[in-house]
Amino acid sequence: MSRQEKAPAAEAELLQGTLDMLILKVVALAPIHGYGIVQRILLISKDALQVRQGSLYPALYRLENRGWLRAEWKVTEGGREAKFYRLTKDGRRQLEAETDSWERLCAAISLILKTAE
Amino acid sequence: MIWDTWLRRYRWERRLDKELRFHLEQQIRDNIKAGLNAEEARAKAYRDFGAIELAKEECWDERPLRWLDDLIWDSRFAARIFVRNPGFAFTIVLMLTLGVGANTAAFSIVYAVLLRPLPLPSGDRVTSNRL
Repeated sequence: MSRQEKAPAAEAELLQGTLDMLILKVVALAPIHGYGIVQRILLISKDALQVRQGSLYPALYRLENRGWLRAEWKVTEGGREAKFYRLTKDGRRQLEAETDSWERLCAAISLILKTAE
Repeated sequence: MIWDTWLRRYRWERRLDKELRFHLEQQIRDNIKAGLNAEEARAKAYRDFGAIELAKEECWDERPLRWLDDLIWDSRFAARIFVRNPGFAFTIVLMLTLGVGANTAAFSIVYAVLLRPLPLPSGDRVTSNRL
């Protein structure tokens, strides 16, 4: 239940543009459906990052249209049909590029924040 | 051909609905597992998802060549309005004609009188001098 209280604060800190990168990363681990992506991000981030579900699907459609994800309908373990996304070669390249620039940005920002007064 | 567009969107939306329904059902199932009763689980799943119709609209907006589709729809709409109301169409065409014509005339005069160099040797070096 504490997840609900924490969620809005964490959401506000999910920087614009990072959602696409997180999706690419999670999909890179294994083909996965939309609901799975939300749960995975929540789990890996130890409940700190709650993806806004309303913006997840537009993001998935955007990434698919750019050729970074490919979707196909498959049957889940529960016997339900679900749309699974997987990473394409272009998607992997994009993920690497975004990870690189993200790390550079973080390093630069922490340099500034850690400057002694 | 208009039915073709409708049918395409209809099928597209059915697939998206199916995808979102799967998402919500999974969420409801997990909420029940977490101890909520059926009704609460359902309400919480929908509440957490947020505006579903808005999300669907945003998915539709993400498709490639959307501007081309929009252009076609807008043109069709314009054509229908014009056919239904020829007087309005005529007025618009007249206004545009007059507007473009007046602009062209004004610019032609300004160009001939002020901008074009005079037909003299080194005409571009001639300036007006007010004393």
